[in-house]
Amino acid sequence: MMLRVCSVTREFAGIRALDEVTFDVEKGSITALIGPNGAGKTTLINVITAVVPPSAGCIDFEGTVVSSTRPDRVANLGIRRTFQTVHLFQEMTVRDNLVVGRFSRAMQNRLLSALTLPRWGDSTGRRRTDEVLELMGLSSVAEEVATDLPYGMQRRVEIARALCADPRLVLLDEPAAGMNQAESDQLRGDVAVIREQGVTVLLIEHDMSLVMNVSDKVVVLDFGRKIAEGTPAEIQKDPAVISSYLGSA
Amino acid sequence: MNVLLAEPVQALLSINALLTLSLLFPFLAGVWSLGLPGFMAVGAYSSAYLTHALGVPIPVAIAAGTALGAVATLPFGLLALRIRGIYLAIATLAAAELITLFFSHFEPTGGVMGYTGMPYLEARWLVLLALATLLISGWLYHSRLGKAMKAVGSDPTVASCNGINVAYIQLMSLGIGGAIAGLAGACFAHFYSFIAPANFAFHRTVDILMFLVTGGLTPLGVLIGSGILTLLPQYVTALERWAPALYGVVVMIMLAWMPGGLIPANRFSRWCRRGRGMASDNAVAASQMARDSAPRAGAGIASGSTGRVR
Amino acid sequence: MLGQQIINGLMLGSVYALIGVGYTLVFGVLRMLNLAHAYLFMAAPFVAFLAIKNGIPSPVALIAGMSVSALLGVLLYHLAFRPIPRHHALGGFVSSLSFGVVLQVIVVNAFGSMKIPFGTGLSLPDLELGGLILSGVQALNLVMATALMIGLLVVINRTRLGRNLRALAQNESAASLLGVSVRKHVQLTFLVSSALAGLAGMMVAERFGAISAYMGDTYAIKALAVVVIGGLGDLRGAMVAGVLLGIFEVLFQAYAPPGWSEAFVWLLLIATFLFKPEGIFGMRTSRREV
Repeated sequence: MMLRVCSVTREFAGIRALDEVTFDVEKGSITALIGPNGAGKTTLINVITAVVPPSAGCIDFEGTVVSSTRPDRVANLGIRRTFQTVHLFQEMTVRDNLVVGRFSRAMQNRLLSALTLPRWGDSTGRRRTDEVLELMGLSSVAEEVATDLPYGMQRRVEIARALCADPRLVLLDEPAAGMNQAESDQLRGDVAVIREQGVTVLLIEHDMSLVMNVSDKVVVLDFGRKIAEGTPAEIQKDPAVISSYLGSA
Repeated sequence: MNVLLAEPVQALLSINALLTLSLLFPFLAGVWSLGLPGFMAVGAYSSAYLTHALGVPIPVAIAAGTALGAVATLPFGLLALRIRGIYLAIATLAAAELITLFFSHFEPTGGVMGYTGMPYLEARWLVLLALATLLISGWLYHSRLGKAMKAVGSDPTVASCNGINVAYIQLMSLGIGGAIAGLAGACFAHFYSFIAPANFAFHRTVDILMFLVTGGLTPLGVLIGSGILTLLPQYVTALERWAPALYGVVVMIMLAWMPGGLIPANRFSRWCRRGRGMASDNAVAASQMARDSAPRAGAGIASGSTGRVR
Repeated sequence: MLGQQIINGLMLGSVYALIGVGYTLVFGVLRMLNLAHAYLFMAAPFVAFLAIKNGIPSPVALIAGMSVSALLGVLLYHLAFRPIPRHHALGGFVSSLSFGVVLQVIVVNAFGSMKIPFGTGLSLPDLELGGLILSGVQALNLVMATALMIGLLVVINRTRLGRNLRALAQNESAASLLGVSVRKHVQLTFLVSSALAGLAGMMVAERFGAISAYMGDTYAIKALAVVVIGGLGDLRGAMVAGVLLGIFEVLFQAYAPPGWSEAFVWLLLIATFLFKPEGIFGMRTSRREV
């Protein structure tokens, strides 16, 4: 079991954004987290990555409790994420964004690598960065300022940044948001690439075709509670899910 | 050209360049600290005292001044971790005033009357020190650490989610800035051979901010901004009375038209790619084609770096 | 005597309060600090000085001074604040400071750096209250300042204009969508704020009988302390904090070792940021969740 979400509750301003949510993410799998807007999905991601603390419950990652710590500690344990709206670093090239993603890893290998120039030093990291750029088809735009690129491409840079750090678990927060059909098809490919790299994925999405096609397991949230959990096929037939979210699709 | 050979001009250029540089790294990391007059004072007074009262050789004293400038940033660091943005600017401004106030009442270094008697340092040493610091800063700016600082300044939460210890980077950037300001202070003390608390007032911060805004938040920008604005009144001596007003007008124009400064980040990389022109679009198109045609299987992925098993 | 010191403190405090209110008005609508404020404070008495020298009667000269600083304030908004992108953390700070410096250099070049005697020639009898002496001018200043501040509070809290300004301060985009003309209201804010600065400057000029190009400098930064301690964006806070700081400053100077008066202000400012960032009355700003 890679990630255990144990009875996580998050309350603020009198609202229960998350209410005793419990589920597991298996190693090597792609788990999807779906639910209507406001169901608490992003809040859960924020709790997992320690951006906000839970009011109750805990998050266990490969035996370590990560719920009440700093986001960078969580990231360095091997959990990386993307954000609902793309958050690339301003005024930095694609490659530099990736270099930053890998910074702490580089320092783990050798402390002084912090002082090296990105073209030199940390050969492992440089190789990995080039690999990831190639994988995500970003090699030709590596030296462009990331925020100058089209949105779909920026999304891929964000994913590349997460991959560059050799994570064990990647949390994708609505990666297909704001994309057209062609772009979300490409995204499906990206998620497959991540899985091929041996990385576990927790995917938040509204795009049902993406979710059903790609996930091994689906967890459904509504009003902060888990209302269903199972394979895509099971979820599509679940009456609770249909009435609250899917409609009669 | 002979203006540049005058010792006072060289000294002024070097000190201004160093002071402007001292703001670069904290601002890059999003730490809006205006503590620089305080760190400069610490560097100046400590180096002066060490040489004058304790007979320490100049190079050691200057090194000590630099180090103490960095140490002086620790309380400011505590502020920086708790306060953000313009509020931090005000808080650090106040803290710097406290340091200057301290020296105004510290008798061993002359109090308000000022301190004198420290050994003289020729301008060429100042130039050397300034150039060396600029080169080192350029290196640092482009290093992985520099990238991490830029990331922290751009978006601390996202940087944190990417594994960066934001507090550590912010404190480090502040420390580096303090060291450089301390060095500037030590140089100031030994060139002018006289320092007084009035030299370390908010007024100095105002000038330096103007240099930084004009040049841009890059090492080259620092050099150009501080260089141009320092030299301007030298070359047009009729303007000397109006120099601060000139700075003021230049700054207002820069902020309105070129908020990034004369040499903003990525100026060269963007310029090489000619903006929205051919090169950029070609690169993007090439990227699309590569994705469409490449086989999707994990062929040829050298996972040597991770040794990961599927 | 303690009572006299407190009166003096009240006088100083009313100047601080006036300046603090000016800062707060602008911060409220723009979320930026107008550092040129203290230079507008300095400019008005010079205008009045020129007017009086040319035979214009004092009351008119004073109004001229206030008007000029009000207009300069509007110019300041258009040159130094409007072009600045919102996200530039120190943009308004540096730009307004630059504007102020330009003003100061103009004054220095036109009038020199030395102090110039200033007097409106208005003679008012001194008041005596149980052993404490209040000069006529001081009393007038106090009355005017109080009246203005109460008037301001009334406008802000009881009128439609005030409601629009408060809406702008809370949420600019929403207010503008609801029909509040952002530009006009901000301009008006600058107009009023700068007029107040000018008035404060002339009050100080009259009180000390002299003006100088540098008279605004100490007030510039002290007033920052006023608005922070009173709570950035809170009018009542600025007024209370201003008066309190004035009183404390005078008391410290009279009874404490030298330097402590200033140190106290800075320490209080830092402490406010650390422990009670909203200030005495201030509003808490929201935190961002990703």
